[in-house]
Amino acid sequence: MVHWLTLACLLTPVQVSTKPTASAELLPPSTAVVIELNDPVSFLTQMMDHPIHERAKKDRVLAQLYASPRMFQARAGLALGELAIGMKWPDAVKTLAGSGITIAFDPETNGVIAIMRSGDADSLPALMKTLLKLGNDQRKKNKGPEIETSEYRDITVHKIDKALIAECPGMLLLTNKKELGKWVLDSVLDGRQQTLALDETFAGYQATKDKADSITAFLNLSEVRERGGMDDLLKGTRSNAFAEFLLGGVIEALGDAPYVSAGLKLDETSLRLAANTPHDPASISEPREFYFGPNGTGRAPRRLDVDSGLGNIAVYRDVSKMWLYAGDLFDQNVNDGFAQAETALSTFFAGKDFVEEILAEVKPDWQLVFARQDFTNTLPRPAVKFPSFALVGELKDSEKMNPELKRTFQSMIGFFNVVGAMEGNPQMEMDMMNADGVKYITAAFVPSPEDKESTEATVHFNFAPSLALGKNRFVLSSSLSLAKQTMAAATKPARAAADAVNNFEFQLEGEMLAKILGDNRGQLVSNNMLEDGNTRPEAEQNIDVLLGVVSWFDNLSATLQPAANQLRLKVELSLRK
Amino acid sequence: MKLNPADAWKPFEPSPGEWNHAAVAHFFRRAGFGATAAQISDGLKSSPLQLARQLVQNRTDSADEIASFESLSKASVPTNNADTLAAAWLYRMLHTTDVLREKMTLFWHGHFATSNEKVQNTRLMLLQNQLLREHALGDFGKLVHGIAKDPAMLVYLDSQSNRKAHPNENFAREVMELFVLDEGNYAETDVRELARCFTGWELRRERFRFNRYQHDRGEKTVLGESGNLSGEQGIDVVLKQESGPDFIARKLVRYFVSDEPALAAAYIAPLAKQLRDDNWNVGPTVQTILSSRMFYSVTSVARKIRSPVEMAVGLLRSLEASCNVTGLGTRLREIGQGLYHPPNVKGWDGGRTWVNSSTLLGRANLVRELLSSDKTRFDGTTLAGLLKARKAGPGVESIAWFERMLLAIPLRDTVRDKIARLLDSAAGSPDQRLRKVVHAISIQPEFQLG
Repeated sequence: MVHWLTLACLLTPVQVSTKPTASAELLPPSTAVVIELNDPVSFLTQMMDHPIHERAKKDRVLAQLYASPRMFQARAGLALGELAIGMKWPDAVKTLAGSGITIAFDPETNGVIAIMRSGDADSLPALMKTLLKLGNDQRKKNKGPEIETSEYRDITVHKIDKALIAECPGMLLLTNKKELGKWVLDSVLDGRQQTLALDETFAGYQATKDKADSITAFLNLSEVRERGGMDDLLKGTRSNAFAEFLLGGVIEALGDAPYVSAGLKLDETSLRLAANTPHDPASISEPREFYFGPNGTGRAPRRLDVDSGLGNIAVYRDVSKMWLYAGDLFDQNVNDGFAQAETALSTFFAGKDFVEEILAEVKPDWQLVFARQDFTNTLPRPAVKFPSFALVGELKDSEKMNPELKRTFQSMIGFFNVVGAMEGNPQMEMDMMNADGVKYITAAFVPSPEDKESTEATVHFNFAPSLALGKNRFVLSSSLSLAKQTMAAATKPARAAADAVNNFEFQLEGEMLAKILGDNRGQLVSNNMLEDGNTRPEAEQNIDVLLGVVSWFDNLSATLQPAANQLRLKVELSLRK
Repeated sequence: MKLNPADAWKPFEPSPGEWNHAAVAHFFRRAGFGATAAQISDGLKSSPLQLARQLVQNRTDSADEIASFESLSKASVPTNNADTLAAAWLYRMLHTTDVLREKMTLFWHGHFATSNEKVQNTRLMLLQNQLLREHALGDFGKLVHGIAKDPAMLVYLDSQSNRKAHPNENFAREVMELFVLDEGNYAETDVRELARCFTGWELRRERFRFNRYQHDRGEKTVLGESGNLSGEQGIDVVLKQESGPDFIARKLVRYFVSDEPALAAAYIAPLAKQLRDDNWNVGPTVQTILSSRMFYSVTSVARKIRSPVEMAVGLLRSLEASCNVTGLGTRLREIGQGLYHPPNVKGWDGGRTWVNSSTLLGRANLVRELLSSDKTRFDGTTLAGLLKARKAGPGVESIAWFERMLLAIPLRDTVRDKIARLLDSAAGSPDQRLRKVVHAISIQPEFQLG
């Protein structure tokens, strides 16, 4: 029998190279994670030949980086490596894994395996021989033991520390667990009746997989749940209210979903990651209705555009409902925290029930807006320049709520002034104005006579807390300017409604982020010197590289879309043209 | 050979062979925080007196370097970040060429001890540090006058207000006991009278202010001198006392020469006289100490326990290393010498108190962390790269090089053999093995001596 199998294995090259078996057919049904890179050569070539490199070489600072000794060493190292293996790196990658790489994790054996399919099976043995010789030379230099080589059913297996590499015809298997390696190797040699390919959940993933993705991934949640791998995640938000606010609904969805799939696309101008999981909005429990809204219809507000906008976070969350369901959602510690917060906040709101009478009066669509602040003509000018931010919300009954909010804001400023005075901080002075039907209550820090003209003032001078109260809408902002802009943007008529219903939306503008970092260049250079021990020129170069790289990015966005049968998270990073 | 007091402070004139690598390394360990191989080679070309004079009299950092150091320190102010402030000073200690000035600034920081633990204001702490550095090798009298009006010191000693109805004796006592005269050289009545001189001295909006309405205009008698003395005149009276120069000279000797045994009064007297003759100008006395026979004698060499700052900065400077100084500052605080955080008004006790079972373990861990961090670079490269560039290796030769650079006295033979075996047999790359060797050296008792 063994002789037959050996013979079969020896004959396999022809079969494998002409009709390769799908990796899923080699993996055990208990496999929980599969990551596939179908065309490593073109993916790596795309990375290496990406237009971003040409752009970097034209940049004054980054060009220096490309011409730096370290980069020269890297290039020389690559050239030496190519010389040692006798082929260019794309050819080496093609030989090792030109027909794809599959990485899988099997919880049954706690093993990870990489299946690398050669794109040039004839050259593979020679390349492996060279690589093993180089590896042995290096280990000898480091006084390590030689790589052990043995045979398993006429397949050569190398042992490097805890890793095993099996040289199958036209294919390499890399694993950290002998049992998993043996299982897959036997699948290669004999074939099997039960493999991951026949698993229903995996088949569901295969059917929805986007073939155009460069990298795809599959996570079998049923398998992970069965082994208790999600217990911590599912319980995680019970002790963390912020995590519940951010992820509670997603975690509940994952608690029932059979799998999560993900795909990564890379092209010349963007990098897109999409993760999907089967999802039934009706299955979400009542306490988590705060997250998705009734029947999953909760929708984040439309994004507000302001001058020098850095980014937005728009979200649907019924916070009052979350608070009321706190007993179901959180552990005792968090509930105690909620009770304390409610008492304190009720005091600020003149004894009103904070949850039922204040939070419940605010609609569940919230938005945070961030913007760069321009201090060019402002004194005192803070040494560290923060972006301003504004929280935008809608009120169910502004006539009732506006006086409450105004009074509470004034109390808060008074409170901060008292605490600030005790700590020697500057005091705030309040002002009020009306414009375009909006009432603005604002507070600004008053500099001491010595600091009036300062260009290195403390961080306080980044802030001018402001409250804008309009018709059914309020804005609580760190600066008056942003409060005005946000209120103006919010009252503009909405553009055509977007097709997608986002539960959560995040946007970050690269250009503005680069400008804000540039505003704080001196501080960043100092931090780099102290944290990394660099000299000033080294630190300046590092920060300029960072600023240069950030300025290439046009936009980073993330959205969470609950649909009829799936929950989709999309993250996209786009480059400036 | 025991030196007599008359000869002890005469310039050291080495005989051939005496002026060697070890002697110059000793000079830089004490006058600064250790030296690179190149600095030691350069030092050998000068005489002991020239070396000391050069450090005392020249400000060797360029204007750009000073501006860069100042800018780093100021980075802590807008966010009131004490870790950044300490890190900025460590960075300066690591990179300055004006090492004696930094060593003296550290000396005065311990002498005029003020902790940000209480002050909680990096701007004020930075202002005090600048004051200490400005007068580090200059007029001690001006320094005392400056400290007396220094906002951080006034906050630290609870002297923000001093009214004639209730003179605050706290600061007056510290001026005499800790800053200028030492215990036993004043009476309680002098404290009370000096406190009256300081009435009206206040702190307003973090600045010193003299409130003439709260100043006691009556006659006071301080240390035998009477009159309607102001605060400044009170300080001048204290500075005129005979015991002041003795006190400061003894502290300088302890700082630069040896912790114990304390030198007899006869040895201190010539230095005290010099301070007196130079009208409290500290630089020349420091120069005398650093170029003296006593400084290069067995009474001094390897007779001091390195403070945590001397140990860590010395290691890094000797190996031309740069590192995460923010992290270093935090670790130094854990092992007993947090910059801007002296333990009390007396400053650090120093000497044997630097080491105990806990701090020794902390020192070893600190060195291990420094050596294992990928942010620690040696002249911009690996430790193996540094040794290669300095032609200091391979094998046991590298151990000998580390001994010369890092230790005041050689390792015991048995220890050296053990470390040689470690170098030969330890796992990892050549660089990792060398880092293990340095760590092995750093846990030896010899490494704790400066």
